[in-house]
Amino acid sequence: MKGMQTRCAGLSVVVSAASLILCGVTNGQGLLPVRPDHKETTPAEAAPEQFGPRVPRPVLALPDGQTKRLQALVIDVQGRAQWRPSDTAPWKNAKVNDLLDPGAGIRTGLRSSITMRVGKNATILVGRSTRLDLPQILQEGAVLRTRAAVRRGRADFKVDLVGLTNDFAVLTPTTTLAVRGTGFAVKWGGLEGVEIEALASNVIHAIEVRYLLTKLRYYLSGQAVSRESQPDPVEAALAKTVSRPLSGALSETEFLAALQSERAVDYSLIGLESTVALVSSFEPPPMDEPNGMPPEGFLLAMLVCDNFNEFFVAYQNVLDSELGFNSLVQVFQFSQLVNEIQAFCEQLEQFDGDPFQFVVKQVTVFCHTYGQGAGHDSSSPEVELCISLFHDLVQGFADDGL
Amino acid sequence: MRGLAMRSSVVPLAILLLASAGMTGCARTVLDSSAVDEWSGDGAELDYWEHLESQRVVTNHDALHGLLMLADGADSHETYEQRLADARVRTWIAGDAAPGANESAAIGMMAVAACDILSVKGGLTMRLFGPSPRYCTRELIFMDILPQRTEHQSLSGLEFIDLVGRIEDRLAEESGSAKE
Repeated sequence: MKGMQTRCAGLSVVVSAASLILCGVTNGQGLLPVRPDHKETTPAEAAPEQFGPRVPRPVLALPDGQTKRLQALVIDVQGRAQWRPSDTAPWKNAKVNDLLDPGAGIRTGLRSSITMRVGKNATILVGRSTRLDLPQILQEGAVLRTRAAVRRGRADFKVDLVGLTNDFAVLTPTTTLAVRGTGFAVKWGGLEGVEIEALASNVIHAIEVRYLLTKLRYYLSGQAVSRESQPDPVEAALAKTVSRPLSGALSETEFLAALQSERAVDYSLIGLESTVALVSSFEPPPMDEPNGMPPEGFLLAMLVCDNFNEFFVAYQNVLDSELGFNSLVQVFQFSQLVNEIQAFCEQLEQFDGDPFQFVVKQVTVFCHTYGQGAGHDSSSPEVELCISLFHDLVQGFADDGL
Repeated sequence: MRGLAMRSSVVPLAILLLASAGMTGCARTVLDSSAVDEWSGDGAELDYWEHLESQRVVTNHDALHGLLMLADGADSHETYEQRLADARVRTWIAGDAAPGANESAAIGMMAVAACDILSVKGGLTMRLFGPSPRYCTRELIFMDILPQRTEHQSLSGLEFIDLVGRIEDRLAEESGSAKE
């Protein structure tokens, strides 16, 4: 705790953010046990209070002279679409979550499309019968430099203003076009040459939301775990080389409204999903804040790690009293969780990404398997309670830290 | 005398040149092979378009393969004869016409296919006499799908891909699944 106090001078600021995050659990709609002071609110109503602090933050500039290669992440594929890492490599079928390095080529067939989040500021929808290359995706200091070459067909480019200089150029066999912070569609064909059309922005927004929804399910499913020794490449990319697929497309309020209207999502899960989205969001906080203060994810993870024994004994007790350990398997699962987090805490300083997100994910996976062991499905109140007890505990420890 | 003799030798030569120019002018370009010869089948669509891109003219075989894929979503035929028979059934090609597989495809034929795929009704002439290469070409020009061309001209591979894409865009607009 002492170490914690010395290392976390800005904790008071962070705790307020953490409280807001935890509000997602305690005040979220749906599966939580109803408390006497609980008040039903729609996500849109709740958004300003719960999500205000999470207004997308700008992408940070690199130090002068420093260059970083970025990537493209496939977020949607329709019909036949293929890509290859270089001109000489064989083509392979595109799938969602494929990561493309600069130099990749993409092609689509009739009635087909592929959508990618490219670098930190752009989304590209590659349309039917198109050949497109991505010769350059990189960040140079405060400049995001991207080159996309449309050899034939149609591609829609949405370039977000993220706080850095956008140097985004679209090359065709006859023209070079620049996009500063808006969007358009470029068609290039043998009959008419280059044609500029309006951006299919609604289509791109819909694809981004759909992708985010699949990520939410992914976070909740517990089917994939990112370990330090074996990190999930997509999450690593989202943290480092591809960023904020939704930030330029929707405000938080709009996103929540979209969530609410999405039939595929159980409305009762929104509270939980919003919470998970907050703590394990698409925008992992950068490891170095501009003012030198460690990011909130790091501080929260330190809070858990510095009070490790005390924290997990308390979590075990509260789980036992609220939900009960019904089998040896559940006890074993809990000990596995403790071991995972302990191993993680030993290498916290070297962890690349949002460490608290990692901890929450481990707890979420544990709660799902724990719930399954007790015969509950993944959306049962018991599973959500298991997660919310963890958050309550974090909040309690954070309050003590003050 | 010398002038007369010269004139008498130049005139037949000019007639011969004109005749040969006329004969070759009516003939269509013939390629050694079509892209579809190598790239047909369910999994080869993207390779087919890729190779067609570099072809200087699109052949009848390639055009029918591409247009059938556009019309039905897939082309299950294996030979040119099967595709030609299917095109005749769809009235893309007149019953008595027998274009060569590797002969350059006429814009008129592709325009008739496009009129069928897009269900273009056309003007008075098309309504009275049915879709013809000439009037379908003019309809596609009017609809901004084709630039100014005549029905006897041919297209390069890249132009054909563009034509197919433009027809697909129009189909998407008409089916209400337009982008915006």
